[in-house]
This record gives sequence, C-alpha cells and structure tokens, in this order.
Amino acid sequence: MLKKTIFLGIFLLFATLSGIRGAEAKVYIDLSAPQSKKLPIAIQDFKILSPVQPESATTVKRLNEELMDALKTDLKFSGLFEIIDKKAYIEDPLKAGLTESGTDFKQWRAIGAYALIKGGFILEKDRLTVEVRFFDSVTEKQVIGKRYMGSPDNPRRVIHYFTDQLYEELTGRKGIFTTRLLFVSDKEGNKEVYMSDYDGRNAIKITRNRSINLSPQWSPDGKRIIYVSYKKGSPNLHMLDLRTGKDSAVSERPGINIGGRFSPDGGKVALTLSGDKSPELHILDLNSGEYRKLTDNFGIDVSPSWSPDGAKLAFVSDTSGNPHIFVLDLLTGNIKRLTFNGKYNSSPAWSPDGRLIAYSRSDNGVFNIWVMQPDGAGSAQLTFEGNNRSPSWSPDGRFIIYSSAARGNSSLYIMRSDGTGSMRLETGIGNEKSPVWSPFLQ
Amino acid sequence: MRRYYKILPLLFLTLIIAAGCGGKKMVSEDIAGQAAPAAGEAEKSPQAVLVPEDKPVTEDVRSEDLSGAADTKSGGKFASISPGDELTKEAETKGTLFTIYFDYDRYTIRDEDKDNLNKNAKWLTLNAGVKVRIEGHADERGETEYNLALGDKRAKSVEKYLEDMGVKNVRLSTISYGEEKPVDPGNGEDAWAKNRRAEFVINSTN
Repeated sequence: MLKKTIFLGIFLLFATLSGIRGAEAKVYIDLSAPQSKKLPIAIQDFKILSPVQPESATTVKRLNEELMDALKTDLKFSGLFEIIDKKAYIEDPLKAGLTESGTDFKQWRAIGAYALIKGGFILEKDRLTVEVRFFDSVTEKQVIGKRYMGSPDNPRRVIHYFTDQLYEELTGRKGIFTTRLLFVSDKEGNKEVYMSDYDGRNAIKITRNRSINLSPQWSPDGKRIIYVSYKKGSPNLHMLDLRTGKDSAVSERPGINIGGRFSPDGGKVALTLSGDKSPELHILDLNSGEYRKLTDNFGIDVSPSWSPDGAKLAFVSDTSGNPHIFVLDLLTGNIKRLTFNGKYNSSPAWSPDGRLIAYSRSDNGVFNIWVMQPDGAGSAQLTFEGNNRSPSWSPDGRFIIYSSAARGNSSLYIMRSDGTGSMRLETGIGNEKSPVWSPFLQ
Repeated sequence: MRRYYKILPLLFLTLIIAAGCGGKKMVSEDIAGQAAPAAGEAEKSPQAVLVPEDKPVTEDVRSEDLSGAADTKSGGKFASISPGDELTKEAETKGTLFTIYFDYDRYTIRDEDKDNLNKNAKWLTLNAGVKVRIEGHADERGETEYNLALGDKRAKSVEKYLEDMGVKNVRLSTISYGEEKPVDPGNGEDAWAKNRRAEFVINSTN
C-alpha cells in the first residue's frame, strides 16, 4: 500500500511537470478487467440552497426527485457502483454540510459506503444551478466537484453532464450519459421519429408530417438526422437539421430511396435505390449529388453499415436465397458472404472499434441479437428471450440498444455488448422500434 | 477494493486537469472540497457553466406537404389515393382488379395467381384509358428496410408481368409500403398471408 502511494506520488509529479493530462494518463477503474465487485456508494438527497417560497415547494420537491432519479439511473448504468439504500444512512442531512469539512465520513464508512455523492441546488426563475460532489469516504477527500447552470425544465440533463465527467475521471474513458437515441413509434397513429436521452427519458417527437417515417440515422456530428419519409407520397430520404429545423429531401429517385447511412466522414450516404429494377446499394456524394452504384443483381440489397474506417459496407442481400449478411470492400468491389446459418439475418451494425458486427438473426421466425467478427467468424448469440431486432452500438462500444417485441408491442432495451445486464427503457411513448444510438454529443 | 485505492490521488489530478483545460467546451466550474456552499454563491460565480438544453428543433412543419400519401404526380380529377376508394371498389366489384398474393419472403408470381393477373391484364386492355398504381406490401415479419425492398420487388413483378401481357408501361406505376400498411393487423399465418400482396389502385380513368 505504501509502495503504491509513493509510486502514485511520483506519477503525479511527473504528470504535473510534463503537462501530461487527459485520457492517456488516467485509468483508475480498469474497464477491461472483469467487474467482480461494484463500489458501494451513498447518494444524499439534494439540498435546496435558496429560500423556498411556498409556491415553489412542489417544484423543489420535483427537482430533487428528478435529480436523484437521473443520478441513480446513470450510476447503475455505469456498472461501477452499487447504490446503498437511503434507509441505511446515518448522517443527519439537516446538520451535515455538502463539503469535506461538513461531512462526517465515519458515519458513511459505518454503513459501508466507500463513495458518497452530495449535492445542492439553487432555483431561480428560469435557471437551475446545481452543485454535485463525489467524495472518497476512505480518504475523506472530494474527488470531483462541479457546478452547473441549467434549466429547471430539464434537471436530468445537468446530472448527465456530471456523470459524464465523473465517469471520465474514474475510468479515463468518455461517458455516454449525454448521448441520445432516435427511434420510431406509431403510438399516435402513424409512424414518426422520436428523440430521447440515452436512458429513454425526455422523449419528444421530431417529425410531424403525419405520413410514414422510418429508419432514422444520426450524422457523425450528431447535428442532423437522415430518415425515410412518405411525406411526399413515396419513400424518399430526408435530412433534418436538429438545430434549425430545416428539412430537405436528400434522395427522391423513382422507386424506393431507403436505408440512408452517413459515411464516417459525413460526406456520403449509403442507401438503397430501386429505380426501374431491383433494390441496389448506392453511395450518394452529398457535395456533388452524384450516385455510385455498388451492387447489380436481381435480388434485394439493403441495410448498409459502414466500417468505422469507411472502407467497407456490411449489408443484407437475398442473392443466396434468404436474407444474409455480406460485406463489400469499397476499394476492390469484392463482396464476401458473412452468414451461412439461420433463415433470416439482417440489420448489421459495425461496432465503433471495428472489431464486431452486431446483427439480428432468426431461425424459426423469432429474432435474436448476435455478434460476429467482420470476417464472419466467431458468431455469438447475445439475446435469448423475446423477439429482438435492430441492434445499435453506444458510441463507446460498451452497450447495444435494440427493440424487443412482445404481445404486439415493441420496447427498447439496452444491454452490455456481451449480452448481460439488459434493461428496458421507459420512454413513455410506446411501441418503439428501430432505435439508433447517437455519436458522442459533446 | 485494490483497484479503488487508485482513486485516491484524484483530488490533485482533478485540480491539475481543471487548471489546464479552461477553454474546453462545456467544462463546468470545479468546486473545491472545503468551500462552504453558501446560498447564492454559484450565482456570483462567473465560471459556473451553462448546461444547454440542446433540445432538438423539430421538423419545420410549415414547409410540409400535409396531404398524407397523395400521389401528386398522377393526380387529376380521378385521383385515387387509397385501395378503398370508389373507383377501385367499382372495379373490384366487377371482378376486374384482383389483389395478387405472395409466399413468405418471395416476389415471384405464383401459378395460382396467374389466372387473376391475366384477368387484370384483360381488364386493363379493355379499359385503355385507365392508369393504375401497383402497391407492394410485406407481412410484419422481417426487417423494415428489407420489407420495403420486398414490397418494391413484388409490385415490380406484377408490373413486369402486365407489361409482358401487353399493357403499356406508361399506364403502370409502382410503390412499396413494406410492412407499413397491413390489411389484417393480426399476427399468425392467416393475417400474414393476406398482407403479402400487390394491390391495384386506379390513378386516373381518362
């Protein structure tokens, strides 16, 4: 122990002198190591730090509940912590402070809390200021303390910012707590595109054209989405700028214009056009407006997924009789078949590190999520219950979101990329399908 | 537990990092562990950084064509937008335009459907002014995008068959709805069999 402390002291000195900082210099919780034990953590209720007017009492209560719920959701989701039940807490929140000196760490150690989070907020008219501190209750030191200003309408957002920073401090890796989801729901009659936080909350409808809207996808910078819409009568690709609300047609050729996927550099879109003949893969250059045809056969070629280096496309083709997954080398034009088992393989999704392709496979009419290596080897089944489709990776590659149907209703689930820890998302919308995880948004 | 002890020097490192990255977007203000959190303190602090709501701006509805699935290209006064409209019903009650059905995940015309398709071709030959749209559909199994392609293939199989029977290409158009417009919303083979189809909709009669 002593040896380790000295080593870390030297390390810190080195870090200070050489100016090394950032991800390469800090890994405190090694995510690649098997996570046998979660860290027991206590979260004290948020304190209101401004005078409470009688008329704002309800708002104050709601804000604490929202902040606490978001914090618990994020911490559970991180997979690093085990939250100790509030009933066990000994320290009197009315007497204790929010800082190191105002905290009796003995009382937290007594209930087994190795870490502690305390926070408070100030509510003004249209501004919510929140401070959050993460303490190591063994060393009795604050590890990270942050103050944020946000909107009282969306207190969860503030917490997601905090958890992103906490996660990065502890693991050296970017957190995904400020990322978002796109999905499709027909809960109001026709299919529209919705957007929510990563945990499914704060879902809002972002298309409102009352036709059929399908297959939303993120641009690599997360500022635009591309989707299929029938709003002009036939299935065309549209692009919506999320900052301006400007919506424009991207591809309106005769036949179907579907399955648009941005290239990793954002300059191109892979899509399927049928024209007068068969549905074939194409690449549309967004700057020149020129199409390049990639496949030419009598069958169906759909659902392209770019490799992270932009050199290859995984896609679904029925040229071998049933839908199977193939990979196309964009430089050589070579096509290689990846799946040989199962009756229906679809929805390929390349992992952010390029090492795996997730897909959905059906042997008997029921779909499950699988992964395989990009050469087709090492296929492994990740889900075993329900009817599971449309896998999409979190930008850090640690999680997969998918839709799961039961009794005519479809819900969104998130699991770890090894198939464990699946968790249903409460979007409050209903019948959610075709989820896609955003890139890092900050 | 051992791994956790590595967190200990974080306090210092946090300070080092915080000092070095003031220009980074969305960095919030670090607050020291010993600072008394007096009410209103944050208010005075210029460094407390705004967390933007960044709520997406939704689709600009004003620029929208809200007429639903109307086929604006082939309109005219006999414009027909749904399989249930009167012109189409009339043709159907006279036994003139049959819906063509398909096997699961297939888009070839089945032998048992050729009779009906031949009758459709004959009716179109007798009513030379009529233009039709062939709508291809899939059942709910399978994936959204594959089913859109499947509906497209089915509609085009029917179109090709009619062209081979001598119906002029200009009188025919196709659209795929994939799995989006089932006639029977149930699941099970009975419902699915009804939904794997190509329907005829009369666009114009002049």
